[in-house]
Amino acid sequence: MDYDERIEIALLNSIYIIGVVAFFLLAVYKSPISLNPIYIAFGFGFTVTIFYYLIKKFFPKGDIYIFLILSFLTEIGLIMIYRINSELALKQVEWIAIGMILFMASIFFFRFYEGIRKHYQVLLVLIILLFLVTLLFGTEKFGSKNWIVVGNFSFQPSELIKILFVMMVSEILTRDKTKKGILKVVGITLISLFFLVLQKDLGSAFLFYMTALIMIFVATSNLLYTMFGFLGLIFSGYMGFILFDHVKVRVAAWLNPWLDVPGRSYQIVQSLFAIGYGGFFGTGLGLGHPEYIPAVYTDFIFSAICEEFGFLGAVAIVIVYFIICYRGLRVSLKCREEVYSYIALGLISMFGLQVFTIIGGVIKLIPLTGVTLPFVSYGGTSMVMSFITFGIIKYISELGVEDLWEKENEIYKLS
Amino acid sequence: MYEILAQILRFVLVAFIYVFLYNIVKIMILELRGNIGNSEITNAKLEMQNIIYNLYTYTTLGRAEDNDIRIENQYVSSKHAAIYKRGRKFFLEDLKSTNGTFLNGKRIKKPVVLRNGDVIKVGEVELKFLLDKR
Amino acid sequence: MGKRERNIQIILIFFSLLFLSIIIYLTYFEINEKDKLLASPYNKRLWEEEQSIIRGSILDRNGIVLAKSSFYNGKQTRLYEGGVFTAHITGFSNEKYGRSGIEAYYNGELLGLNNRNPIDYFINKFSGRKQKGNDVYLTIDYNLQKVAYYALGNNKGAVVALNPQTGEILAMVSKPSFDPNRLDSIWDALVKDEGSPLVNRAVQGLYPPGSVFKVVTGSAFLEGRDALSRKYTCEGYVEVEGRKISDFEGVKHGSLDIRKAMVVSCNSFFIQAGLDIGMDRLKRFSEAYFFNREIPFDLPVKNSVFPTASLLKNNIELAEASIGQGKVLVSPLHMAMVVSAIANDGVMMKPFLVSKVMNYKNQIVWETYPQVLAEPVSSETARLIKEMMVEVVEKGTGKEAKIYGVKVAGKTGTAEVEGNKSHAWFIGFAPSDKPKIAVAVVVENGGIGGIKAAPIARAVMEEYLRR
Repeated sequence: MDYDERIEIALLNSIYIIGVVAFFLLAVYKSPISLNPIYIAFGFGFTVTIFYYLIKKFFPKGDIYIFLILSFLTEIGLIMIYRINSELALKQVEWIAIGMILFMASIFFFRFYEGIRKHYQVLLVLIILLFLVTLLFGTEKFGSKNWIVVGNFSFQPSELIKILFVMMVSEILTRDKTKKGILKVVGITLISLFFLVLQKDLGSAFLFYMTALIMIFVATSNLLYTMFGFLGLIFSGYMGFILFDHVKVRVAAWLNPWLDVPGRSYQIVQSLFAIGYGGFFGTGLGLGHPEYIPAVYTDFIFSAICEEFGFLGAVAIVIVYFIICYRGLRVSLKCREEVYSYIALGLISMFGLQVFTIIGGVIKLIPLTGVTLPFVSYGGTSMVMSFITFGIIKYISELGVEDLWEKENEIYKLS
Repeated sequence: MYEILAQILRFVLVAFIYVFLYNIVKIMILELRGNIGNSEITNAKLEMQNIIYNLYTYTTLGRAEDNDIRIENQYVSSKHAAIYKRGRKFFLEDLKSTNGTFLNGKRIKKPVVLRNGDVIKVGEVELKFLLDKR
Repeated sequence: MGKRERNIQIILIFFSLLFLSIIIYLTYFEINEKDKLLASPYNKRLWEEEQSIIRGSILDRNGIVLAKSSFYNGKQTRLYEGGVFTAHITGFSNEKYGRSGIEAYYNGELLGLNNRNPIDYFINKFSGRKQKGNDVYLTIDYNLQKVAYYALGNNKGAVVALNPQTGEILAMVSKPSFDPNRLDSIWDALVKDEGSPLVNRAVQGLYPPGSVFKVVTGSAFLEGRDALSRKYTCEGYVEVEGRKISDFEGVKHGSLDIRKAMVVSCNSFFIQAGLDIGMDRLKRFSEAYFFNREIPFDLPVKNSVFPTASLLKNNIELAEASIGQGKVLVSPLHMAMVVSAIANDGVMMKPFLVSKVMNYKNQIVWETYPQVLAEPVSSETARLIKEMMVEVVEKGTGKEAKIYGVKVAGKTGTAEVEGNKSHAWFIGFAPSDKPKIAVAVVVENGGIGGIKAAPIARAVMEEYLRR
């Protein structure tokens, strides 16, 4: 057996074993033993395996391991969500399934993007349209008005807009790196920021801004722009602080959470207690107290993971997220087509910054923001859009590989 | 009772999280070392002048320094030949070398399948292809 | 496109720094997190964990239960059978109001956290039984404690009684007190009460000692040359650098030696003696008696204060300090330790409240053994002071402390308080030749020590010696 294959098997096995052990525990956790977790464990393992081999068969080029890493994170998230609330977990399972299917679909369909690239301005239209729709028909959930609810089904357009935004900026930067192009990028960014701030989604605003800044830097290498960008960031941060009360509250809670524990800093303090309580190996699944943390299945799921999987578990997950960013950036690096390189860069930057923001906020490294942890937090739109994002990245990764496969196919045809 | 179970199993869970992580890191290290993604050590070997060389998924042979197997000989081109694995079989391919690549005495034009014990000649150097039947 | 690639690599480094900072912060948090966790009463997890442990009891030296756990509707609550008498000693342990006293400082022992037997732990987890904490046995004699409590009457203040040969605290009363069983109903009133009933005055109260400090000044004096024969003249007052410090009611004692001065508690004598001793020496002596030093004890004790040399800028402060006024401050526990040093031939024993900790199988987890804390005076000096103190009780200011058939040694104090009535002090021990009990009594704003404090000390010593 090849080295390759052995590692693949090891990766899959780890996913299986973690699933079986964790879901077994969850099955016996409550008094009437529930078999649902066992079904989920096997179902999940089975699904991941099938999808992985499908990817190997139909999309063997590029980064095939990214899917396994995403599955790993999804699994951890699913375990934690089930532990917190089994009904939510069942819903999450649905989203995971949809996400994985769309993952495959994106890899396949994104090739058609090349054909329609000349109409890239449509992206801007779509972005504005989506923002308007959210503004007009949106409902407020968890403090920000960026949800669209249709019957039982709720959807966060901003997650989709992220992808469109990155694509739009990539197109502009590929064609025009002069001041005019930069201005266009800044313009789009400001428009997006405008809508996001109106929706009170300051966390996403920050992500959009930083991603645009990173993309401009990479495209132009212009330190002046970058510096301006940073100054702009500090300025807008300051403005946000002054204009928005809840920003003041969050910053105050970040600086000294012990002043108003039962009130304003309640969330972060409970999060800190949970993280501290876990020790090195965690309390053990089911033995912690995630119920003391508000919003534990979305924003604070990382704290619950710290508590039950311990410092070691949490650090491993942070490293895994970093590895995803690393692989994504490598894809961007290797891709020779400029626009796709930028798209990969932008998507990964959004992703990486989001992960840093939420984990940083939850451990009190930075003030809290209202973003979630992709693949792990409960949330349908985020899960599906994240899978689509990485489907696109997978596609782009295929563009960068030296044509060993082409060669082999040729040979195969000849011999 | 559950408490004890969960407390014992938490070590297992954390351990396998690290097993996963370790393997991912292994892949990255191998990718960084290999010329191409997924270029790994295979179970086939090449024997040249009593030294056994590993064969990768894609192995280049030639006089230039960046070849996987460097062959110092004036009749060897800088990028002379390649041996690669496709599926379970190994192929020998001539990379448009000046003096040609020979398998068991015959000069090859298109890539050919290698069998255990085949003798490859590159320039004036003889190499023996070894394949472990597993 | 070399530039793009280089820039992407820079971004890669940027992200690695971001993620690295998370890991470093998590590591730092993991190492430092303990204090936040354990200190905060908002951390419900700790209280939850405690519910699975049966908290141990607090008992007096004879096994009388002062605090124990009882179960009400499956929930563990604390019952303070010692009541108001021992409220400050036992303290309380309450999810809402926090912890104090032995409940706080021996929390680990009461929960059995420090001596967990892993085998027992697993057996209990398997069978679903609760872990059992340890019982803490105090040196306190509950009956004596009650006598002291009643003796202090309606006054504010403290009584500390200890065994001078071992350092065991036999009684420690602080008033006003409160009923720890009724915290829910009285908490708000307690917190707002100007009398600060939650404060343990025996260890956290600092008072000017007044004349009881003269035993310290006297010790310093006696270690000088020809101390016994030296005399000073008392005119009823002493003028120091323009300031007039008088004797009590301006009484003129004439020419007297240390013996007489101690018996009648002559300020003029001790001021002049203090000026001769000098600030450095007097400070050194006080510190030998553990002033300005942290007293090791089962509960936190506020350090007694003898002003530092830089503050003793002038002789006025020295004069005041010699008679226990001015900036000198002392806790009742400390004063009891001072007098017990004199009782114990100049050897000050380390005070302790907890005699032993026993686990639920009645095995001793640990025991306290008497330890010498300091040797502030020679046994000869101690003997001399002892003799003087016997005379104080026999014919001096401490007559109210006399016990029939027992030789009692003591010293009274009437510490002046600006704008208020003086604090009444009494320190003493009995029997003077082989002292079994030493006490310190302070009645806040009680007036004259010999009148208010001495009888309380007598009641306590008498009760103890009767057994």
